[in-house]
Amino acid sequence: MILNIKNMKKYILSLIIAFTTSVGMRAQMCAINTDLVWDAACIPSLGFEVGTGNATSFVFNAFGGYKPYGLDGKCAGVQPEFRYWLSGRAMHQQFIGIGALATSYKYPSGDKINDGYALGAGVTFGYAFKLSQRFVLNLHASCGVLFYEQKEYFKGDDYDNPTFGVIKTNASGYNMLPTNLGVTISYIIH
Amino acid sequence: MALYKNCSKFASIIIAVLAFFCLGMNEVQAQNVVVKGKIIVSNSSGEVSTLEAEGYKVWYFWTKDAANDLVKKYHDYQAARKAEGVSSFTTEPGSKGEFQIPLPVGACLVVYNTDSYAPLPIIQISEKNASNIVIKILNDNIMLQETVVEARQKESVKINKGKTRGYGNKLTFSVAFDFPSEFCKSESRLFVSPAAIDCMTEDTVAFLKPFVVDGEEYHKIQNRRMLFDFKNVDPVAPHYKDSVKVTDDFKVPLTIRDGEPLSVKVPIEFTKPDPKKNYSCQGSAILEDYTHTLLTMSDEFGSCNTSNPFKFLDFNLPGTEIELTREFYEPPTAGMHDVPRDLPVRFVTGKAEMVQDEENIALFDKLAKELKSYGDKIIRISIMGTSSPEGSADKNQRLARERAEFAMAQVRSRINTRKIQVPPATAMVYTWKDVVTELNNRAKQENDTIQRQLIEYMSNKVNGLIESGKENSIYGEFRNDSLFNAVLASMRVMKCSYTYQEEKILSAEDAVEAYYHDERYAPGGERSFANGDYYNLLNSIEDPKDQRDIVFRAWDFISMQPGFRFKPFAAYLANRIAMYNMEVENGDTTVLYPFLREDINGVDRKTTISFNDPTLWTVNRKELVANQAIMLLKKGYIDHATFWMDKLPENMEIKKSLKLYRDMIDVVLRWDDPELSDAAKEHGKKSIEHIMSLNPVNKAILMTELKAELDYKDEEVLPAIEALPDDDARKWYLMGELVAAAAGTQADKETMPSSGGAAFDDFGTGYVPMTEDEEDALMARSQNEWKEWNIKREAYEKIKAEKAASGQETESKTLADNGVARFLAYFQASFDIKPAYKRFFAFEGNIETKTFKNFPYVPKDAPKYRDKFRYLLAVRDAKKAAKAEEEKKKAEEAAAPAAPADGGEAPAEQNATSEENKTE
Repeated sequence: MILNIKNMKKYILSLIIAFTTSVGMRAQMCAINTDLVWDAACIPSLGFEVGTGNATSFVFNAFGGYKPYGLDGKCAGVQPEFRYWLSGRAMHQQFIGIGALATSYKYPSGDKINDGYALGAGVTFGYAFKLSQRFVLNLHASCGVLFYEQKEYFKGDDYDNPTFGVIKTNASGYNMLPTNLGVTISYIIH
Repeated sequence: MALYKNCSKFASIIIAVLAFFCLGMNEVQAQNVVVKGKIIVSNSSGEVSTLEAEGYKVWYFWTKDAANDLVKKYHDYQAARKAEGVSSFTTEPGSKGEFQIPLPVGACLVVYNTDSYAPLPIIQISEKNASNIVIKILNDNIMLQETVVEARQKESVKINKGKTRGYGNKLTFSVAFDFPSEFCKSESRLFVSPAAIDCMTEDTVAFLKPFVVDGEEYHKIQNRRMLFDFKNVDPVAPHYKDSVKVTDDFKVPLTIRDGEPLSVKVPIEFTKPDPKKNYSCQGSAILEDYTHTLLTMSDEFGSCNTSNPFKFLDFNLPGTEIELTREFYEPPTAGMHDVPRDLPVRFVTGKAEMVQDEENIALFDKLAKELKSYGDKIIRISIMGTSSPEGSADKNQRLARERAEFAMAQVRSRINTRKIQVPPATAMVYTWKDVVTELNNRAKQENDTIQRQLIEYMSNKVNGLIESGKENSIYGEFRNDSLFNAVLASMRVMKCSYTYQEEKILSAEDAVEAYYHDERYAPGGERSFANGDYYNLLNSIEDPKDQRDIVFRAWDFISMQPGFRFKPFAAYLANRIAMYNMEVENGDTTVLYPFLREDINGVDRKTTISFNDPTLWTVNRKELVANQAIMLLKKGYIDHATFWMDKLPENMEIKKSLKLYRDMIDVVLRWDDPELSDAAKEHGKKSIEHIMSLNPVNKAILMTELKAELDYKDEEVLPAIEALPDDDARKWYLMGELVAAAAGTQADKETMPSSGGAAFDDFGTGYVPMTEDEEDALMARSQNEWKEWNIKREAYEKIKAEKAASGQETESKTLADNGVARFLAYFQASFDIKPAYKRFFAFEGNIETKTFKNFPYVPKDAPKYRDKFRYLLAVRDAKKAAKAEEEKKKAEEAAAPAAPADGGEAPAEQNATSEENKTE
């Protein structure tokens, strides 16, 4: 699978369209949220959650960070998710869901730099605590499979300087790993 | 060796098989026993009641697993009894709580309380306990004798059904639920959903207003789910109760909390589609959280037996008369008089050819005779053919005209029209809009709610088809409907009218003379009075019977005139007829409708006749509005009566009286409604007291019917009933209601007082035998009383002779108590005077269901009830006589001078006398 910026955008857009059109977007509860764990990691996130039925909701999170804590790295991505609330009411008590992740990243790993894109899907589960009528604290975790395609090169390598006019990724693969672990605080707008 | 091995093998097989059979057979041939058991219910003070054992059912199963399956699956008796296959394995305890079932050892019993929805713990039958299973239910304990098992009956939901109350078309039920704490969760909702059931057909007639209580947490989440606007967004919000009234100024929150028991009282109202029918209430109550149903139950919330406290009430609401002033006089048009006539001639379909039969010919003959009676006074004759709108308009127009011409030819063939103006026959084709108007008029006049709704539905449908341009399909849609066809048929009746010259205008005296002596003016005669003549007659004649006759004749005449509703005299006549209708039980309440407009506020308003006609007419005359309100209130249409009553001015006396009755009815029907304000209840009580004070009959009725609500004791109510005359059927009905609760108890026995003498069977005539001297004394005292006594004596002799002729016992015998319950005797006496009261008795809500069940009314036992009634009357009379005797003695003792107790000096008089004696 060849990942490049053009395709990446296409994938992200398709994901958004697929999720938003596959669930009924009616006048339902709507909340905005931020993941405190990610915020603490200097990768701020902002998302919204919309109730799509009595016991279902759709979540869309976007995150991004640049040189968090001075590390030479950056990332940006989106995480849509569809949740089923076992309690019977959206944004109340336990839920399970399926989600996707699309992110671009660049981070150092030892002497190497990994610069690429990842796309994945997985399952999620969590629990929502009602702090008040409008504030909800959500503990959640997701895991799934992540396909990546990246350029992997040593620090100092002029990898981005093409010799034949083509910048290619040189590593790809997939991993099974946790895709999210967070504590989200949501505010129900209406 | 091999043989030994084989033999051993063989032997062990044999032994194994034998062992299997021996043991297995024991297992298979489980011993059967006859299980004898008893259910005893006692309260915390140890008082035992076996009647309550009737509320339990005993179910049996062969294995414990089967019993467990039932108990685990169904903690609701109503659901369990409908479970397939289960209901056939039941037995009911007898009247003393005893039951007997043959069962195998190892079988299990499950006892269900039919009211409280929870099964008692499973009892497994053993040889030891089979013959004496005692199920003792002590509030919440169940103990088995001869076992060491002591189990606690699980707390269960209690449903308490209140009284079903009704009057007219209003019916109210009340049901209270008590949910124990184990059912109550903060994240749950209670949804009570009642429905009205027709008592005869058992059909569900309507779903009534539900009742919803939310748990604390449930409501918060629900509010959030409804975008924080629960009140306006949630469909159940109108039925949601969040508080309950303690006093008028103080409410407590009503919500479900974890671990706290919940008590709710649900008031239910129902407006009956047919006031004459009886309805009960059934419903379900569901306790659910977000995903599960925690509890579901369905039961009767109210029975068919309805307490109707006002069924006998004398509504002391006199009708309001209109004074016959000059306003209502219609002077006849100078010299000329128009007479409209319908000509319901039948024609061959599609042709201008009359059906040749005697009826049709007679129509024309009659018309001709009528016209001839005026001699040369006839000025003009006109005939208009009419046609209903189905089919082609042109064709209909032509056909109507041809038929009118045919009819005119018939008339001309019978009378000489040379000197009479005969304009050409005209035709009028009604449109579908006219059909809609006619249907609307018929709907307004329809009393029956369901019929009225059907007519309105038809009218709306026709209107809809007109507006969507589908007029051609209207006839096809409704051609089989009889009402629709009747409307069309009425539109095919030809209209004839003739004008004649008045010989002279009748003076009042002439009108009276003509009314009494001129046959031409008799009903159906050749001539008819004008509106003004009827006015003069009503002004001149005073005899009430004649007045009534004139009113109805005048109404028949005026109501046929076009635009009659705008005529003041028509309003006057309608009011008179309404007042006559108020005197009869099921009088027509629609006679005033043409003169009333619901959309106009207030009374005595002037409005124009139509957009094109600026002539003013008076609508909603206050007398008519008042009488309409009275008629509707008496018939039980409370809301409708209130609507008209509210239009009346406050200073009208009749409005105050109407309000009094309306408030009383409203409060009594809502008596069990927890939201009924204390102030309203007090006001209602005052209204009741005031109405009781107006009339001794009403006092007796209200004291008896509302005894429980107003906390009257029997001793307080009895004198009020006894004050009513013996020939009033209501007296005995009320007596029956009063004593029904005592049926079967010691209090129900009436014994003849020892000084009362032997009871005399007067065969129900009221005759009391007298000696000759007593008879002479009675005659001397009062001729009228003697005549009444003589009539009774003759009635008695007649019945005696009839009994002798049929070979029955004729000798008066001492009446004895035949053991019949008193209330049955009283009700029988009431039915004998007024048989119509049986329909009240059949669904009487003031008598408990168990009384009906234990002492059913059997029509073929009517003679026994009558005997008992005569005995009760004899006891009453004897007690009265004994009491009178006692009072007489006391009076005599009080009047007699007292003798000295110690034998000392006699009083002065006596001394003087003795002195005189000495001197002499």
